[in-house]
Amino acid sequence: MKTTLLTTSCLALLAALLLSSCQEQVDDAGAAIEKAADATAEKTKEAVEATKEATGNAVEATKEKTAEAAAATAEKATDLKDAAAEKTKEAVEATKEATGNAVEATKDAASNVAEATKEKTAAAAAATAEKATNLKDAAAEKTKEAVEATKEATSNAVEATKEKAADAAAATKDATAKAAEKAKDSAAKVMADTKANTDESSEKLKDAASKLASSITGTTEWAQWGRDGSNNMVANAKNIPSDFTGGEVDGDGNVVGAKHAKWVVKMGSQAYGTTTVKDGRVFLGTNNEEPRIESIKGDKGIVMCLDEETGDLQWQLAVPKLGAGKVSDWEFLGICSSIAIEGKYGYVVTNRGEILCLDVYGMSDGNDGPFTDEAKYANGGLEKLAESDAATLAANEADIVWGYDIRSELGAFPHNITSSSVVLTKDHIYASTSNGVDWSHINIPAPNSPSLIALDKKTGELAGEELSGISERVMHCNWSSPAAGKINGVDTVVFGAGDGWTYGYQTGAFEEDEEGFMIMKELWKVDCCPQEYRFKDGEPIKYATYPGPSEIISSPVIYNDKVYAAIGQDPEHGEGVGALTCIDPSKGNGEDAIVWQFKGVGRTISTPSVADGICYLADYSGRLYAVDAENGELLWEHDTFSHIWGSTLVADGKVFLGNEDGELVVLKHGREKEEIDTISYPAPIYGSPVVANGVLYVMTQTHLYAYAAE
Amino acid sequence: MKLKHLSLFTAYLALLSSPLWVAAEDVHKGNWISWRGPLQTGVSLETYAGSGELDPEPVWTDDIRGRGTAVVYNDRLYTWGYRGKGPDLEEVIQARDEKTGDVLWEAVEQDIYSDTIYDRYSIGAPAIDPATENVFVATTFGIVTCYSKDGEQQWQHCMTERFGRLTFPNGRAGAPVIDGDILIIRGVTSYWGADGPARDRFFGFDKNTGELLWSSTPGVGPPFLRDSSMSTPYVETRDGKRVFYAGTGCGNIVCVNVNDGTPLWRYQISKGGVNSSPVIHGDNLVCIHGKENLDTTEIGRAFAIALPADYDNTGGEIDPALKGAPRLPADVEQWRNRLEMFTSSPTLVGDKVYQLTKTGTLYCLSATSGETLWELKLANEQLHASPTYADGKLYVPLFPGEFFVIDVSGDEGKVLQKIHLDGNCIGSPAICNGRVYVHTTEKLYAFQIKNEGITYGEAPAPVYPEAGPATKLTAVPADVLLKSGDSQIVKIRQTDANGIPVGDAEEVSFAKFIPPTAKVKAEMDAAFDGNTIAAATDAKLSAGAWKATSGDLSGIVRGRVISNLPYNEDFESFELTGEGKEGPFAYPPLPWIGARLKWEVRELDGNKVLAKTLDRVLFQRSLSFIGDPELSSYTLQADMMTDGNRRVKSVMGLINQRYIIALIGNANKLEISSNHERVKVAVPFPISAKKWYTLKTQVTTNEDGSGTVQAKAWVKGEPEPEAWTIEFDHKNVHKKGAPGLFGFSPQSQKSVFVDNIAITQN
Repeated sequence: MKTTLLTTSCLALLAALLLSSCQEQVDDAGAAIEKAADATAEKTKEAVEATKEATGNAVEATKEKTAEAAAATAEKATDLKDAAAEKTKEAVEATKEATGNAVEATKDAASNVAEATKEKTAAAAAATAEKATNLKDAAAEKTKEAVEATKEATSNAVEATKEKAADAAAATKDATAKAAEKAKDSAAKVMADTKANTDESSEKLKDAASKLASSITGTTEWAQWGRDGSNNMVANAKNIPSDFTGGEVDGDGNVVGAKHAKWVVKMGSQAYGTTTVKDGRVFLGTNNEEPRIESIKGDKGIVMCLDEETGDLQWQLAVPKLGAGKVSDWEFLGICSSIAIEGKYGYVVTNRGEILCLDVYGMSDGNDGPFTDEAKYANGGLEKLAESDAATLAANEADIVWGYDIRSELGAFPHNITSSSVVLTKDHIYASTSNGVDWSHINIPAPNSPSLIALDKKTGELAGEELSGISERVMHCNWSSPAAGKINGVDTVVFGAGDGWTYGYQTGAFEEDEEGFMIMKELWKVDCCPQEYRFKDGEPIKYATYPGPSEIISSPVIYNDKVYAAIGQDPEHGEGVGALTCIDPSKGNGEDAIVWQFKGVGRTISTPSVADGICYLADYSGRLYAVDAENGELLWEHDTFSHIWGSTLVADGKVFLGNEDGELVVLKHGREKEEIDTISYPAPIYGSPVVANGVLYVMTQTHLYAYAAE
Repeated sequence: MKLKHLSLFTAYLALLSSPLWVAAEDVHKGNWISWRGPLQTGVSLETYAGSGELDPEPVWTDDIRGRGTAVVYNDRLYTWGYRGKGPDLEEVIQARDEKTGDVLWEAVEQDIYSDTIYDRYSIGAPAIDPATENVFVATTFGIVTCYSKDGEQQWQHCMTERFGRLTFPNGRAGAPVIDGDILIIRGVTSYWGADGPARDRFFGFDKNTGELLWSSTPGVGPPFLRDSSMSTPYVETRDGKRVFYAGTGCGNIVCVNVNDGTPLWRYQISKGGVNSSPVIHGDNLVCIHGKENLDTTEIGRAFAIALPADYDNTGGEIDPALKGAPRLPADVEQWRNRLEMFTSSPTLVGDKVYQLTKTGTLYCLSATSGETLWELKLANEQLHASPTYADGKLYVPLFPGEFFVIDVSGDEGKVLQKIHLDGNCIGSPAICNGRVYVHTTEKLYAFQIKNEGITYGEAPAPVYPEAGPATKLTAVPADVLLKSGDSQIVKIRQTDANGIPVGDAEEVSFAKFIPPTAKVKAEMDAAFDGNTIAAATDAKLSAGAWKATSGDLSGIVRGRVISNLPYNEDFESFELTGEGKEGPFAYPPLPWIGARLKWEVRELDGNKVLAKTLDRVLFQRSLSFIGDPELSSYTLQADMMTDGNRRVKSVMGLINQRYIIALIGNANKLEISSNHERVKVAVPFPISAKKWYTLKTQVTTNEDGSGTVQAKAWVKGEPEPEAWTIEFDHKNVHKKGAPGLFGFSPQSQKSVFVDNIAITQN
């Protein structure tokens, strides 16, 4: 138990360090240190005292013990390396579960953990610095950077070391600070908080003891489009109110009377940038039909950053339209990308074919570079920066850190609009380029431009591109958001492509070709479009007809070393035949890797949710299917009689799904169909519901609803 | 419309030169001459004795695809559909025996280079002129044809090559409208001079001769112009004027004078197009849209606006920046209802409006207050089709393929029948002589309304305004296209203030006229002798206007001079007086369609060439027509070059007789296409950036109507190859078409250059 706790707490500590790393770790550590120091000075007194002693000894012995510790940690690090990525997640999952259960049980372990934590802080701080380079997963990488800061601090005076050790721990985005604090109160809280947590978590958990039974608990963040790189929209939230409502729209276009709504924010006239939540901020993508900043008029793509507590706008990004009309930047669609958040950075794909890195603090902490031409961007985007006039920016406009222009850099031809969310990996972000056909819907203007690219997270430079020939075979466009995660121990980026195939690429691996382009390493590929949809009697079946072939627009899901991918088309093409494919890359490549394929589902742009052996998938026609995740057998289906664009959320023993009639249907999560509720909203729901930090978010075309238990 | 107007009506008939035909009230009895029926509201005036139930077994069906509405006149049913695949797909007008459905004659048209996708053909309806029994069709690819009742082509225009009509992937064509002697059609066009900027425009033609009487620009441009529209004009007489109302691609409801195209007012209702056709309820206009609103964030709105009482003083103001017709203030709105529908139109029955919405729900609204009286969810979506009403029932085809009969005689709508049809229902039903005609993407259905007798309600006779004194002159045609060396007669008529003709003008003199507001001071290189305008054989490519004067009256006629054959252009004579982003430039010749702002003449390596502009991604692609739409059997050749690098190049080509023959940079191919779903054949051809190629094209037609498209390409300067690089045999070859240039710089990244154009007759 103790060993497990130690390991877990080390892992947890590492995890905490990992999960909260940032690009500019030292700066952030510094900022966080100051912040955390103020908050926790008193509370960590005991821990500091103990740490002082331990650290003092450690400092004294450091020179001698470094090698020993290094060796010891090397071993541990190797174990940690393998286990960290997997175990971190599992630990997090398990930790969350354990939270509720372990309050009583682990009270006496608290002091052990506290001591272990204190002891290990210095040892890990020194040792991890050396071993970080041996760790191949993100956990180790980020820990190294955090530890460098700690190491630096440790080499100063003991006082500084004491403070810095405790502060550095605290500075890993609160987790360690909370761990130290919670260690006093309960080990359970330490376990819960070793997951990268927001500032509010500590306060919330303090109060939560009494409120535990009545608030939505569980998942503490939703930082990417598909919750995390797996794209599996399943959350362990509990206590979601069963009687929340959509309210009515009053004369001013505001929603009133939505029961259990903490707040309801008015967006534009359309919204496809599904909510993401992290560190006290809520992000979404919409259009500018309800201008928030007076000087910004006309059709724009809008990213909104809201305060998680109040829904108040902290800042917004306004992206000018390309002026290409329906061909490449369709009017009023706004931002068709979720904002992926990591540390202080948010990554978004804009409607005009750019990938931007934004500072989640906006301009409140100054204009972060290297990009500082936000004023010119406002008028011309990245492409026309040089020739654009500078706009006068309001204080609450976005801070762009760097930007990459897909169209001018790669010659890609986005069809209708650029629509994809990025997925975060250790050093890179991956995103679709939306390369596709032109007006003719047959011509591919840029067959040599890639469909999937990887950018360096820090610099925004192109790190690599696919050369799988997807663009040459694209049926319509590439609008799917990639997944990233481990499959059988291999870090893989999974892309559902515009040619109907699902591809697996080795994360962060690029090889230079003879023309000097960095090419992604393709690991496997599977055709997810059944042959009978592609050919009849040897003749190709016409695309966009009911029985014809489809590409992949929904996001592939990584779950239990398998990939779940579904085919579909632009809703404008109407209904048609579809398929949900379960892929096991360990079984080989191509057809060999298909475990099962469910063809009862129609064309879909919804992403599956896989939980407890059940795979849920909605289709465009309006039906929700529950399928056995192991063998693909249909368990049940439910018809909502209205088109569906969004995806399911599985949480709190329920399945949530929105449709075009503005209904949010709620069914029981299980192998037997049981309808629970249908909640009406005054506008269509094309997005997916999201739950984070005790709040359920429902996004219609016009409003974002934040529901809490009270 | 009361009996007292009969005298006005007779007076009007007397003024027309056309023969007196049957009294107007008989025209609709037993007929369905336009897509929205005798009242333009989707309502049949027939009532039925007996059960009135629809026999679910059709009387007959025919395996012809269609997306529109049939029309009926004088025992003939005219249907508009399409059949075939690939290069042989054709739209077909069929005249049928109304009783049996047997085809009496048919006429086919093929798509040319339009942007139509997914077989979106025949979305609309033909129109019948009861006076002559001529049948009119305006296709989505811009071919407008007048057929006699026996299927002989009377006249035809290719609106793209003649007037710069643009095409769109949506394929929405709509229906032409006939009022008196005037045929009204519409489209988004980019022509020349003041009509150069793309706008949603209306055209009035002489229905018998096809001569242009007027063109009208009541709407506005970007940022409001975002869509094309198939809203079919609703015609009436109001305040002494003959007017029509229609929705536009720029989000307006417009009101235009039928006789002379004068824009009277507009009402901006949306930020996207209005495709539904309006109806008039008393003094209100009722319609619906499905796009962004101006004053709320909800999408779509059903609405009623009050029509101005005085059409000479409407209370509207012309927007100084956007121009267009005077804009009515927002407070003319009488009611609104939060419904969303982009293309299906309201059906008006008495004081009730029946409206289908995007998610497949049928609403019954009060036409007076707009409030919802009842609603029925019929399917999960609807596209285009509107309900048709007869004798207390609505006949409602839904896109997914279900056809409903709904009893609307009570306080709630009741579904009486639900019939599953093959294919998708996109066209509205036509109801005539107890039959209901529904056309789906698989079949044409004729259903019988079971009855023991039909009573034909009387349609009110149209009331035409009385003509006043002559106040101006109008030219027929109003726009002249002359090849150098040719001549044409221009008739000048006197019309009253409302454009109603009151006689021919005598002793007319013509003088060149440059409108004071013209940005380009252009003149047509031609001369009038009497009523004949002629261009010398060496006349310059030019465009301009003329003022015709007779006594105190005057009017305008506009025209272009285009090249005859042989034609050569090396651009050396152009003076580069403009200052552009890439340096000094000259505009391409004014009479070229679709060229200005997309191409410019520049100097390149000591040589003047035509270059594709890159500053506006909206103009990344250009189809420019540089000659006569009536040309055929010619050889068109030019030198072409693309900028770029190994991975990013552009597309450059020529348009010969409605085929685009192009060098596709990124694919390294030479391709022949004509609407990519119809014709798309290619051969490999290596293309390097920054290298000149010569492209030579020709189309030959055989006696049996088939033909061959041929092209060759070679590196400029090298000897011309003997053999054609690519050849394509087309079973029904395009028989004529204006020569043109094609340039496509994807995402406006890399430019394309053209030089040494040469066109010779074969």
